[in-house]
Amino acid sequence: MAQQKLTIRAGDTSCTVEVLTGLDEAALGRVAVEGEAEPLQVARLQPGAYQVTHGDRTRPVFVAGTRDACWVFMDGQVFQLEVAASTARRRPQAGAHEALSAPMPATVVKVLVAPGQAVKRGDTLIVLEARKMELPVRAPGDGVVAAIDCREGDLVQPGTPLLEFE
Amino acid sequence: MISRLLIANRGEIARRIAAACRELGIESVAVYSEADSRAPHRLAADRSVAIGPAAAAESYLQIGRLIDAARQSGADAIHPGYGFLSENPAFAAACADAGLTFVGPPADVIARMGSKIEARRVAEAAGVPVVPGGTPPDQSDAGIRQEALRIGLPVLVKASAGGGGKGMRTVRTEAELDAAIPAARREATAAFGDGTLYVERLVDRPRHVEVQVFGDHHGRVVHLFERECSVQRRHQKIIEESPSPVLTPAVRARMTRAALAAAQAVGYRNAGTIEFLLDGTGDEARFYFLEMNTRLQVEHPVTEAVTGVDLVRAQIEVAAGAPLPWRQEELTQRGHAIECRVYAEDPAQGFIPQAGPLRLYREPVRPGIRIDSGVVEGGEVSVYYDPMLAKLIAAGESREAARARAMAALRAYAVLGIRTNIPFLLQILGHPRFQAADIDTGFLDREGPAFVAGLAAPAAVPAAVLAAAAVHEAQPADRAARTAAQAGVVNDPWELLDNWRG
Repeated sequence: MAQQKLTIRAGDTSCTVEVLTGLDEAALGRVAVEGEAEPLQVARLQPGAYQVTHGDRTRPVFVAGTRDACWVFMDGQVFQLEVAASTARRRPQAGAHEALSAPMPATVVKVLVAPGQAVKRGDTLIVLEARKMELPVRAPGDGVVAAIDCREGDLVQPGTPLLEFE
Repeated sequence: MISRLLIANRGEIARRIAAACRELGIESVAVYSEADSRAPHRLAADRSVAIGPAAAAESYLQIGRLIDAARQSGADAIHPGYGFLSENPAFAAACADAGLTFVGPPADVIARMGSKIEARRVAEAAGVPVVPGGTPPDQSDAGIRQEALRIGLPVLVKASAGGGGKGMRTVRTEAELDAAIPAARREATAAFGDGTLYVERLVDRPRHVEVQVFGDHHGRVVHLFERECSVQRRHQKIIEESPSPVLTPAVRARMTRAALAAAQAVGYRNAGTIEFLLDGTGDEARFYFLEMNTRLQVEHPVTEAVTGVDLVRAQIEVAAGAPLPWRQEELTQRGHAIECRVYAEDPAQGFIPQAGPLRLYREPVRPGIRIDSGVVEGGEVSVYYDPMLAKLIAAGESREAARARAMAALRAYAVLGIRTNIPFLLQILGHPRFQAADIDTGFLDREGPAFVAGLAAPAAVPAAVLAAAAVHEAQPADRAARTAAQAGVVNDPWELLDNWRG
């Protein structure tokens, strides 16, 4: 397989990774990772299951998902990454204006803030109820409530904006 | 004799019961809602019957549909599992009326012990100490408030109708009462359809220790020692173990004797649990009757691990009329077991329940580890039901050995596609106070913020993670396999059954 240069993003950070040799007949590949002196060796055990040797240490790593939402598990920790060919342009950063949405289908139990209200990071803005449990929707940072897009008693779906925040 | 048993439940416990049926040569019948038509529990049974829409209130909680499903499938017995209708006396009565063997205690025993007032009365009459409290006859906010102040703060305000921590609030100051009462009532109404509230004195920094009891139809009752379930988040158990690391032999003897007295007083049959609050340590520790759960507990595997018995098989045999398979003097505790509940929730985001596809799901297989799960790779975690995916039970010759096994297994428990509480479980197990068994039921609520801070993603993604992701995404063959997994294609149906490891 031809060499492939990829950009992998995790939150705000990104890293360039080059697949030097893709998996061969023995299901072994070599990868150069930006900032690492030596290439890492990756062995595929099963679909999604790999053994990665980094220096003198070998560890199991599991991968699933798509390039836009690539999930990786190692040593009890989960990483959500975005993988792109390194020529691809970065997507523009989200603006300061942010909409908070429901994480799952839920009922709006209480709206605790009003438009124009200043709130602090961690303040409860809205109380949802799902699976018989109350779920607080909290402010992701200090800011001002720009608009409220739901009412108490509303049934909301994941992704439905509940409140705009700036 | 039972020849065909309907499992009135879903998820891991339905698979657990189906496995016990297989061992006993009893045919099993699963029930499933519209959301569960491809669920592993359905495929684990010999037959299955659809019982209605996704919402539990219209399917798994519908007594009539379950009885009809039993009739339609020719079942002669019903196992309720835990949760859903397991502690609903009307369900046990409906089974009896339909001529079906209910795997559990008689309806009147469920009703008596399900009422917190009546259960306390039974315990007190049997000489078992109880915590001060009651269900105020005046259920108005003012009435609840008055009762709370009469008992003396701090108090617990909770749903009279149910357990599981739903609708429960801790109130330490008078000012907190006004918000706590309506919130508890809302949750109680949503969870149990009954907003009746119960108020009780809060024992400060108690441990939760419970005794497994088991009665048969021939008047015998035994206990199977204790489980400690002090690691709770908002009154929801997360980690359970047996034996309790702090119970001295003298207190264990007193507590198991009290549990047997309560079970005998009510004429208990089948598996049940008497929950106690433990106040203090050493031989002087005091304990109070909390409640009785008239069903199998989620955490029953830790008892199975240290006593070497099969509680579910015994439940079915005893329900069929057989005498208890063990005499009290044959039962012993050996070694130590720790159970960790794996939930589909994101601890880094306020424990928000997660729903979505399980893109990858690999259970660790190794000595001393048992996993009871309700999911498979390629399946979908839905929003409709309890977010518990699985229970990981680690057993070893000592508490430390079990703890080390649990941690190593959780580090190898790959779940991708949704977030789980595995990183949170690892933090708890690795905490010096857990290691020292210096915990009480408020441990997590006090230490929670520090745990969550410790869950923040590391600043740099490890190179090994990046390398594996790069190879995976560069490999077309894997992509094909992944697509198959995402579509839920399982080539061999027996793959779905081999998650049960007794």
